[in-house]
Amino acid sequence: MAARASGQRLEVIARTLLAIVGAYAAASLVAATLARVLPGDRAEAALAGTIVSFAVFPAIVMWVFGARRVLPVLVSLVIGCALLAALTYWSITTGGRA
Amino acid sequence: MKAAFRQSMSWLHTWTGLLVGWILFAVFLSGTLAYFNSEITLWMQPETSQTRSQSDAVAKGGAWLQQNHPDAVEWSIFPANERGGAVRVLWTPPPATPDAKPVRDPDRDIAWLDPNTGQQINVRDTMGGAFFYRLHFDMHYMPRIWGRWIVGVCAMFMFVAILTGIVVHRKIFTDFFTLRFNKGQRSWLDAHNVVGVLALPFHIMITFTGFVTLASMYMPWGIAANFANDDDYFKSAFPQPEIPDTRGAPAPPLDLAAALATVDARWNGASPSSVTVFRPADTSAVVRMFQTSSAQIDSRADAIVMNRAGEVIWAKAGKGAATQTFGVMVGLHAGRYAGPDLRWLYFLSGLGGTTMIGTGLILWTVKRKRKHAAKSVAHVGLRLVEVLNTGTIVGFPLGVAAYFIANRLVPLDTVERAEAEIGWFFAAWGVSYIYAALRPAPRAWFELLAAAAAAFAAIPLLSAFTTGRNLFTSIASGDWTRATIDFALLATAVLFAFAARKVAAKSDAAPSHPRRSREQAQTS
Amino acid sequence: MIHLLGFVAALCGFVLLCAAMQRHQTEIFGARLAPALGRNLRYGGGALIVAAWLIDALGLGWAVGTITALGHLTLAAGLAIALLHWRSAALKKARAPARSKQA
Repeated sequence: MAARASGQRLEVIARTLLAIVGAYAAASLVAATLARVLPGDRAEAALAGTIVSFAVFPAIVMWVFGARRVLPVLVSLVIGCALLAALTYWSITTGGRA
Repeated sequence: MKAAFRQSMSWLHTWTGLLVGWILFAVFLSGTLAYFNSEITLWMQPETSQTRSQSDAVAKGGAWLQQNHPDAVEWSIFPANERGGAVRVLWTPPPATPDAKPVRDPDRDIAWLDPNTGQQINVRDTMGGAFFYRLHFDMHYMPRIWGRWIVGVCAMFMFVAILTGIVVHRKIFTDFFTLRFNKGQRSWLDAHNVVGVLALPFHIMITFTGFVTLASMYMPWGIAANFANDDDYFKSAFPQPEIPDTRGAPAPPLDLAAALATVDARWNGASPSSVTVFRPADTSAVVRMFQTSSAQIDSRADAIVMNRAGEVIWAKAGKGAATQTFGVMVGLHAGRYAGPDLRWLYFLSGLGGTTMIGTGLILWTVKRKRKHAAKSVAHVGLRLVEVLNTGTIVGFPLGVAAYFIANRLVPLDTVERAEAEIGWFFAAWGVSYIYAALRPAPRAWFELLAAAAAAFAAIPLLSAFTTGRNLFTSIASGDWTRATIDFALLATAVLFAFAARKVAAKSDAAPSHPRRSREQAQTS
Repeated sequence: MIHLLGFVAALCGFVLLCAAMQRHQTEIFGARLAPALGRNLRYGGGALIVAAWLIDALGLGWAVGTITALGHLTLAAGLAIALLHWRSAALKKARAPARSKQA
């Protein structure tokens, strides 16, 4: 009983951490990637990406807490973030910043 | 699976809401009051009349500076909008020697004018409604940047709580009109649902656009991906007027008439809200004007730079779609564009949001109290939440009342008078927590509610005794803004009195009396 | 004037929508209405809500009108709930003495 309770508490902590860190990381990377890939003026693209990222954050928080198991969410988040990070990094190194 | 998902969303809704509910309550209520910031400032400066025309107030400011500070190297005029009153004028006196850098003394080189007569007036030192506007996102007694991060994090909790709330609330349409009274927990849930659902478009809009107002601070990575430094981004996204600094020959101090005629034609009659004149007593004089933000939803108002003759030498370029979206979102949030009717709808929706948070907080304790009462154990967490609830839900309004009272009672020659008024606000609010902690819950609710009722009722009276203005003179002179605020204060007093009576009736009926007398018997 | 029109249309719309719901019919009329009538009330209510939006949008412009319409809908729904509450309380009061006489 106690073991189950502490296991549950651990899972809540894990999900909370993943929700906050994961959602912010993903939202930031969405903002950065959109800023790079959206066509047109660079300031415009940066602003558009930033606005969109505020909708990404709560969506991921709800996903993290709503999913039955945490591990698949963690894995998908890490892979997704890594892909976005790689794309942004490649785009900045080849295209440069203003 | 679906049931499990809803359950986890319910858990998330409860805890995201509770953890930051008290800060959210303060943020929502202060933001709601800030929709009437200009009106509140007008009430708090009884020395001024209400602006009839913002453009005319600018002209009056220019004329006053022309006459009183013809040799200044810079003038600024900040008229109130038509909802407010006094005009603020600033100037930078000429340097002692021609080579020295001109310096403005912020305490001395400032004056307040009546917007309709153009005469200098002595307005009391107060932050007025701007205090609630600042409190809403900067907090107080802490560096601004901390306040903004705290509010931002809480707002994200709010956003998650709203979205999970929609998932949890299964029967949005079936329960749309359902509000049952005197049914304990059920009634609190009904009230929470009703105010949540009815103003749902507002809640979602206001929370999302709230992030957008401080977007580049909360989420700087989009900008960081495209710009090596922030300044380049701001220069590119929001170009500011450039002021040429080539000097000409001495000339008579500038008359604003030409510049005002130019903007009047260009802006279809919309007024300037902030005017700066560089080198007014020189042939090279330059006038910069920002358009008032009530002219359109987009919050990023037009700006224009003119020369002495009122010819345009710099104008804002057209905006891209994202910049325009951004401006409209910020504008939707701040509601500066709203006329009186829409402003009231904003205000009522804001009160709805505040009520949603308040009922949510109370619901948490009502639910758990029943559970704990069954086990008949005292619970520290529950008690803490209850104290915080009482101290916030009644304490914050009590602080507002104290702020209004302070505005009338703090002596006019007090040093740092504006800050002293704010001190009253936080003192009353803070004492509410202590009081709530010292008294048993139902008594604390009743006594604080009664105190708030008395405090709000006292404000129009105090105002009548300490200033030349009272409700009747305001009505007689057609000063509807001040009269409405007096009415609103009285209505708030009635509302709190009603709530106090309700709580008293409840706690008399509840079986808490025998327990309390037992406690008293034990302590004595 | 536009504000008043938009608000009244929204209020009437919500009153009809409320009356169309079976669970509230006994509170309002003391009995359930025929399903066909309920359906018509629902259509009428929906049409009035759309009308409220159109009134605001055409009178105040699409952007500000739509925002205003949302505000009117919120306020009107709140008032409709209050009306429902008064109506059902009045109905209960009117019936209470009748029932006690029967008893």
